[in-house]
Amino acid sequence: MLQEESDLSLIIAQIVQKLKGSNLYSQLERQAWASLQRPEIKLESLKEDIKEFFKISGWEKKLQNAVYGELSVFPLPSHPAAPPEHLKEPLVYMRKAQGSWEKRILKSLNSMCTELSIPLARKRPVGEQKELLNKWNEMGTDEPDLSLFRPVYAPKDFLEVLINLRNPNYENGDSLSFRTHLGLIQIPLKVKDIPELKECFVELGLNTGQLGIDDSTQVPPELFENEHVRIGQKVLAEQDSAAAQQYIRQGSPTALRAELWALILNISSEPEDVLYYEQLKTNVIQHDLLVDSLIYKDVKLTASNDDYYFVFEDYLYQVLLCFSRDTSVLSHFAYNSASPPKSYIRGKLGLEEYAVFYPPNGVIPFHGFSMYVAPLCFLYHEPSKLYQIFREMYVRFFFRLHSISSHPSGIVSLCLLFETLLQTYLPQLFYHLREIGAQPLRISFKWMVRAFSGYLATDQLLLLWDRILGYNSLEILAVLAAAVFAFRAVNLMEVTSLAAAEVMRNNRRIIIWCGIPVYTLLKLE
Amino acid sequence: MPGRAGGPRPGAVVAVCHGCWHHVPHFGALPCERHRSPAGGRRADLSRPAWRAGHRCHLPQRRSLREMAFHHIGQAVLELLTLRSTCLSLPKCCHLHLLGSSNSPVSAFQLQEITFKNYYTAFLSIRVRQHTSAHTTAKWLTCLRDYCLMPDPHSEEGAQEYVSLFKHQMLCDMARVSELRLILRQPSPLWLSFTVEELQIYQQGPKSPSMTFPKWLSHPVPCEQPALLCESLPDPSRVSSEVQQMWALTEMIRASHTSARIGRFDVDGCYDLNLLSYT
Repeated sequence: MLQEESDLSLIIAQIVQKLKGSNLYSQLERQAWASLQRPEIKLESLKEDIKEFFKISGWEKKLQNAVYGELSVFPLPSHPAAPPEHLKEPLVYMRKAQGSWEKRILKSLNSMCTELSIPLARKRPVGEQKELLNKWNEMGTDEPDLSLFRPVYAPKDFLEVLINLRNPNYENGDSLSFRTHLGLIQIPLKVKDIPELKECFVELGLNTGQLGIDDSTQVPPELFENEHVRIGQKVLAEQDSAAAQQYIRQGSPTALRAELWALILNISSEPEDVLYYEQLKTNVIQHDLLVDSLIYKDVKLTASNDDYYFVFEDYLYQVLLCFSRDTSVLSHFAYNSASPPKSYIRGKLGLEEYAVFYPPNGVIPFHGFSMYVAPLCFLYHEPSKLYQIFREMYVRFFFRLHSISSHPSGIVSLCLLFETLLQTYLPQLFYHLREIGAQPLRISFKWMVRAFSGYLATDQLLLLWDRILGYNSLEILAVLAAAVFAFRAVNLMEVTSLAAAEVMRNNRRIIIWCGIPVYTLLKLE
Repeated sequence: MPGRAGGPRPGAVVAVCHGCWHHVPHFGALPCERHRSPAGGRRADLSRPAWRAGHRCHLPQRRSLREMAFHHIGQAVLELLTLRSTCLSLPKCCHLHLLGSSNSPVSAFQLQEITFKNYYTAFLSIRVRQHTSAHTTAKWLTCLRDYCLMPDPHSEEGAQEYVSLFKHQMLCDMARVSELRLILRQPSPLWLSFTVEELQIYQQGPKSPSMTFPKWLSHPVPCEQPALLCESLPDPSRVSSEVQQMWALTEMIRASHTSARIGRFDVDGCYDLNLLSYT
């Protein structure tokens, strides 16, 4: 009991410390001062009266949402003896693997820098700054020569690193044992099995209505859709972030989705936020980074070639360029196993006062990074709000998809969950694919790393991302990947090579995704 | 395949003694009665299994360390099993003798907290020996029984976590501990080794010395009731308590400062960089 109480007070202290630096704190302070004018605030019971005032005026709800947001994002405080690296990643060998992977990326970036003789960062001359400012809204029309640039790494390179990940204390002998990993991932992480997944994703069961299935034209709307929309409007009126998170597990109506996501991610469009975005824009205009060319290249290669997303090319530049200048993203490295790359001002090597992070947000984009932003462009048209939503989605979820960690939502666990589900419930298919040299993970890895962006039709994708927000976890990606294989099991049994399997996977968009995890979860037991 | 008469049926899950491969009543860490060392502290000779000597130990079946089929097995195989068990996952028993700073054994202390970093140990038991008078030999008492460090011994969950164990979690009194024994168990055969690291034991700090306070501080004289000056004036004690509250609030606000984000990534406007550094 003593331990739990002290844990609780530690969590409270941590949340208070985090919220003190936020906008909400100063707003609450201002409101409290302003409320002193009100007649119902008496001096004798100052504290209680102000609390009552906050409750009535809705400020308590905002504070509740902020606290709930912090609880969802920040891990619980760790043991006092644990060093900060332990909070990033508890397993030592994974930390080491992440460190060597990062070193490879830095080497690659440095060699690109020296080969092309382009500086990592340079200050733009005034003329160039003016020019960029003028065409800020149409950067897509620019056609810079990017032929010499290549992406720093692609998902398949990352997959090779994950395949070679080994625990030095693990008995990985040649003889088959009850725990031999027949898939590509050889790490014994704890993943959920079907009964646990059913318990976790209980709102996706057959008995509960889902948007995406139960709002199709054949189903009369009185059965589910009307009521669901009504509840959604009520949740928005209450402005309760926890209720919105619970509601969205059954899918969100298209009209309410933008506001619901903003409520769950605790994004409000205050003038300060718009100003912050403008500040980032100024930073982009003043300094030119090598990373910018990588972003250009990535957008040109991926989003611009996509039927659904090419129209948003300009938005993507506006968001991603500002994202790479945003130092507030650095705070997520406290719970991310990755670390931001460091560098020194020219001529001051080794002096700590001149040490900086590069890029300023610490995130080096890889091939396909822009696909994290593209689907959001359907929801938000105002650049600063779009930017905030993307940043919040990244520091809550997407960073886990490209860093090596033992977290249940980390990419290693997702891969293992996918392979375990397939091995346990579709053993024949798994065996067949393995025999023809087409390990299933090689096909589904790129879907999971991109959170299915670019592989699903946008309305389906947004329904999937609804569930990611609702359950605050990325495990649904692994379940969907396994479900797709289950759905196409008959066809896949007939393919004879990896290439054929890939072609079969890629040549059509999956259109009824919602039914798939439901179907899988309940039929396979 | 018939088991030994009086033993469990083949395939039964049993706990075994390293010496004779028969069941053990308590933790399985200690040898059974036959192989337990006589009073005096000499370790039992476990190199000669009782089985070979021809006797057997009849002890009730208990919880397993590993699942082992209890077959009638030949001598050569028995030796192989013994070898495997000693290098794999039969429980390790770490015996800690606590020394004071002058390298002489600490006579007794009150245990407050034990902190360590786990390394693939699944279950932990702790036994202590209390300090007693010189004539009686102290008994080993169990103060923590099978504390679970890894919820699933086959997976990585909890494998490298930092753990603290407190006095209030212990089953017996930790007042005069002189010796401590940690029993580590890892039933899964998947791990090459298991142990605990960075072990730290904290004893109760000395109580603050009792002081005698002057009488007027510990027994304040009841203040006389002041004459009521005027009915319309507020009660002075109430006003003073409210003012105190207000003062406390203002002090809190003044003491707390916001951790504002700086937001600048360059150094004095300059962001001209060398190459990225690898350290």
